[in-house]
Amino acid sequence: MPARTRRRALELATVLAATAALATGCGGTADEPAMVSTGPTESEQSAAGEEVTTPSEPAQPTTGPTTEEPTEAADDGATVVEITVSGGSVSTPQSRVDVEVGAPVRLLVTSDTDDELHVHGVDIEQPLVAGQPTVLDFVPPEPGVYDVETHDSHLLLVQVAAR
Amino acid sequence: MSSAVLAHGVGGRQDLPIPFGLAVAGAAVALLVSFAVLALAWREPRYRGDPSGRPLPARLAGVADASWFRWLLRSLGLVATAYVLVAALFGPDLATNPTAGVVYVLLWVGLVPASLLLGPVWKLVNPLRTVHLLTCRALRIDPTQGLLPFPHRIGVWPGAVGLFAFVWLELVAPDQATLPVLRLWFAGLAAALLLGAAIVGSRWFDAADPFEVYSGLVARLSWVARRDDGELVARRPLENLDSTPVRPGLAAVVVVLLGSTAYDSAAHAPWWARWVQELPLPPVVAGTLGLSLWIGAVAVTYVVATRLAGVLAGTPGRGLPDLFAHSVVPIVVGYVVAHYLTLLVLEGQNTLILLSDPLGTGADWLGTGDRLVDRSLANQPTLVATLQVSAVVVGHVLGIVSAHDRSVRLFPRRAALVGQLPLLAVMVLYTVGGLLLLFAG
Repeated sequence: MPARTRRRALELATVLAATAALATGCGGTADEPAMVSTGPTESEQSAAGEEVTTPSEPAQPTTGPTTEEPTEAADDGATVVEITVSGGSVSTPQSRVDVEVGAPVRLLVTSDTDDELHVHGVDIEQPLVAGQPTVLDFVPPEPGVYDVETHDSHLLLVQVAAR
Repeated sequence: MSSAVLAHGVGGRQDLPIPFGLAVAGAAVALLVSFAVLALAWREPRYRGDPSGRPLPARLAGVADASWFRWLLRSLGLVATAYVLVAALFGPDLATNPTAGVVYVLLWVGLVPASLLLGPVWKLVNPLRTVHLLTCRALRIDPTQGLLPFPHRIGVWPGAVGLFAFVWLELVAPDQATLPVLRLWFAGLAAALLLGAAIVGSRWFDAADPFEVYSGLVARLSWVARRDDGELVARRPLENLDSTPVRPGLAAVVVVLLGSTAYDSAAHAPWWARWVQELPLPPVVAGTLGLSLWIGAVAVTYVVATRLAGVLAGTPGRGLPDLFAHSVVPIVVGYVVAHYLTLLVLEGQNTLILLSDPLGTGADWLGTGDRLVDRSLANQPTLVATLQVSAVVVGHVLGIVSAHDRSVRLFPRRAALVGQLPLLAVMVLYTVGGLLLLFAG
């Protein structure tokens, strides 16, 4: 009987320890990325527009191996992502772009075939005409990863990660 | 959920990758607990499986087992199916059609929490099972009797095949959220199930219906069970899990479930998506290969680990993968919660709203049509990430504990500890792999 009680206590303790360790682990780490500014918040306050240049750079430690190089910025402060589709192959400076929630994103897409451009999660669609650069502006409304795809050729062009 | 599904209306934004620190913390906890269980846990098997459990209050059990209650549940299943069929057969093939949301979110993902809370729910409401039962009644034949015997060695292999067919539909099939594709797939499922049931009797549903197999397996982690004396009992979830019937093909079922969820996560990672679409293969072929590759990787690691366990413990046997398969179920559930929690909460609400207007005529049959989706969970990425990691780690701990108990039952006392090392290693691999996918996905 006592042996059984001990075993049960041990089982309980194991689970409790796991929960506690996890909780402390989360307390330390989970909040960090929220502190790391993923966008140009300070510069935005001083002079909105021109300083908005490299929204992905500070987020590097928390975004995994996909962030490579900074994206461009438009005159109005939007993060510009240039994408070329040719022969069923996609070329972009990076496969995932990090932006701030609520900050404008401008996609500049040139495809060698007629197609349809689609941003998941905001449900914006725009026709692509072969050879003609197409501009699609959108604002990620809430945190998450937004896939930008072509409808007909089913290609993933880029992912926009809003934090 | 694959992005192709989302194109046609189910889903939208996906969860952010979890923070690196959280992934590391989760992996560390999983490792620590694994070795704590190995070093400190009991040395005699404690789970008794089928004979265990405390009977439910007589009144509750009486209602649950009452014929009228069973017919009520079957009618609910039939009515709900008929309702969705209205949308699937006569509604417009647009993103506002609720059919895809019902299939991929309410049914496929919702089955997991429903079975965790209430037991094997799909068996109770399964419309095809009811159709078969009613047909047998009309023809005055016994639904449990078929024309041919059902060999034991077939086990749940048909269910594993059915589950693969479903995850292929969900994650690979072109236009999987459009009505023609959904109609075709479910027509095929209905034909296969009704035909099989006509040949071997209603146990075909237990063996082959992917939703029954899935729901029944997840239900083994619930608190409710039927004892070997037929009594409805409340049972500790891990004890309940231990009572999972060991049938041929059980390992295949858990391998398909785990491998496909991992594939879904990987397929959403930009590195994987890029690599696959650069392959000179049609997307269907590349997707089928990718899905098979992930399921195959889980199958190989799992079978090697369980066989090796037998060799190390001095009791090798071909049945070991199936004997340990129940312990992978909590890991599967952990993965599923981590990957589909926000989808279920957000798209589940959206589907309930869309269901109010199944024909796209502006009708509001259910009174839910003017509701708005409560998106607050989407705005809590830290909370979501914490829930995701917790689900994976808790699933891992429950898996380790179940595998430990099964080891000390199956293996000779001296070898039980060594024998469970390979399985422990492979579970750590699944958990760390799952966390990595959440981080890099």
